[in-house]
Amino acid sequence: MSNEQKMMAGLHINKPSASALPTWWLVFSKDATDLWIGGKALFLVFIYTVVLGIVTYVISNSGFSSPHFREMTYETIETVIEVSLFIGLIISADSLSGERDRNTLESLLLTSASRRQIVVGKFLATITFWPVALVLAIPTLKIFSQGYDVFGESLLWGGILGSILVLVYVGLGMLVSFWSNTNKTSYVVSLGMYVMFLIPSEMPEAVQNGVISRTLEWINPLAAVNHFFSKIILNNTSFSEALVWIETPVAFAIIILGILFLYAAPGLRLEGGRGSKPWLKFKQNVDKGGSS
Amino acid sequence: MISRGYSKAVNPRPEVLVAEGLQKSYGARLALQGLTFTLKAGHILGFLGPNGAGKTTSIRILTTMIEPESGRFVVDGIGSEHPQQIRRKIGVLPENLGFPGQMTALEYLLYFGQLYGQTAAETTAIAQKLLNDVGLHQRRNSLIGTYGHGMKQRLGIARALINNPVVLFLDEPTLGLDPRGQQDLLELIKYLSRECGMGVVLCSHMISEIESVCDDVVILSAGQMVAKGTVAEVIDRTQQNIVLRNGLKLQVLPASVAKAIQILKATPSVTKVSRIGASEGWLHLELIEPVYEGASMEYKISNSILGALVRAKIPIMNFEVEGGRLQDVFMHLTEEVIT
Repeated sequence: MSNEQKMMAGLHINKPSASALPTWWLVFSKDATDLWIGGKALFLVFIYTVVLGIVTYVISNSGFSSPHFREMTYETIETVIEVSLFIGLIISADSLSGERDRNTLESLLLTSASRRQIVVGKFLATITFWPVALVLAIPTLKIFSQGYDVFGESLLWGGILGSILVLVYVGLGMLVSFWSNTNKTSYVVSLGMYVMFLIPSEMPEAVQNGVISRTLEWINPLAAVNHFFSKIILNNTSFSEALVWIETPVAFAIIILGILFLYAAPGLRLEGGRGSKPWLKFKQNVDKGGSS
Repeated sequence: MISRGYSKAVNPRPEVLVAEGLQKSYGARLALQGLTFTLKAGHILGFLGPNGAGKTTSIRILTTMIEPESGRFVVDGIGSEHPQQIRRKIGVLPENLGFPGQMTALEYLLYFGQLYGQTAAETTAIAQKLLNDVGLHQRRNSLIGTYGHGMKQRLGIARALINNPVVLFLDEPTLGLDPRGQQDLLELIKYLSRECGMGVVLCSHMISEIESVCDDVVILSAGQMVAKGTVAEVIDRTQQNIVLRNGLKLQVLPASVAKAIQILKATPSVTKVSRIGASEGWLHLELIEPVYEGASMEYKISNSILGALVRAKIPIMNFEVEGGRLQDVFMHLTEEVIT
């Protein structure tokens, strides 16, 4: 008798079917649908296109002329990535604490689904905005590159490094959301982090000449990527020479995704904050050991 | 509302939920201390307690949402050290359940059924049946955002049943339902328990609800378990302490109140008679405190009082033993711990 027949007959079935869809796919499908149909992704992408239009207008009228196509392309790809990271943080900051706020997380956690797969599904749904944002940037990049090779370069490196940064920022946003009890906390902390990384990356080159400034720029993943772009797109530096500037974003991505999926995700709980803090758990264990 | 499509589940374990010494505190505040009870298959266990008594903490521990500091529990033979396997065996309707407004009821149940590892075809069959059972079949393709509170509550119950649980936890299930909806839901709970063999933990503020459907009851107050047993046992045990002390209420014809007071004052077991209200004929009697000689003592006293009134040809319209209901027991037990 198949599970379906048992179900129709009203018998208990508690074992999962071998042909069932994986949890991460179910969560991804549902969250992506929620995000794009009536959710905040469409609205944020609309805002993004408006910002992109304004930036295009400003760059076009800022005195750059045809010989400056590299500068114009550089400014565009930098803006595309910075705005996309903002969108990524906004969406990811809501991913878990938002469900806590809306009282929908409990029903999800009450199922026998794997916590890690739930987090993976939500993570994948959150990053769906990035391919859309990149595709929307293509016409602008095409116009500014004026048919030169810089279009291919900026699209290639923008795609690769933008993807790495999106993984970093969405991962960070989800970690903040993971440990926040309310959406308000999650948004404030995430935006604080965004500004913390953004401001140093916007400093003029002249200010960042010292060893300490250079090191800080190298440590900051967003600033490091901007520097890499300036080397590759503006200065036409070879890849091997500019490689050092993408070490930090790659390292950040590995560390943050490692923390999110390997350490945090299996302990996803109804309450963020205190209950999820590993050091409190450790303290409890020490206390128990001490008392026994 | 209820279709009779289920067949009775054969559960070889009579005890589907066993909790032993569960304890939990939040900082310095002890939220739950020494919770110990047993729930048998086909039984309904009521959780009673005032606000902050530890009911929600208990439910969250038993549904694996939070870990106890000490103690353990077993669901259908699976120990609390295996929370994921326990979640496969339980169905839960939390007190404040949120719903995605952009999904239809059918999509919602399909999603959760699949999260339990069922295929879409398996889940569709059971989801259709559950929606029919909770009276939402006609609205199965409407967005949940268009549902009223009662409809969402019914959908929450359908979701709790999607994995055909062995133990069902219901936290304030009738909250916000109209009287007909409440009655239908209690009928469904009784049916799931009696006919399908599920163990049900029912958390409610409505004592009448617990009294009418529950086999067993656990009363919590300030994190402590102050009473447990069958509803009758809990009432009986508490009566030994409070009934004889508290007295009786009775109602006679307003015209006979003066005569009734005169007769009652002359009855040896009555120490004080006072009027309740001005014109409806209600009287409150305080009784002597004799040495307890078994359950028959209260009937002897009651009979002697009623007999005196009947002999004097005073019509008795209502008669109520104070402390004889679960509500009185609840008030008495929770008051003691709080004070």
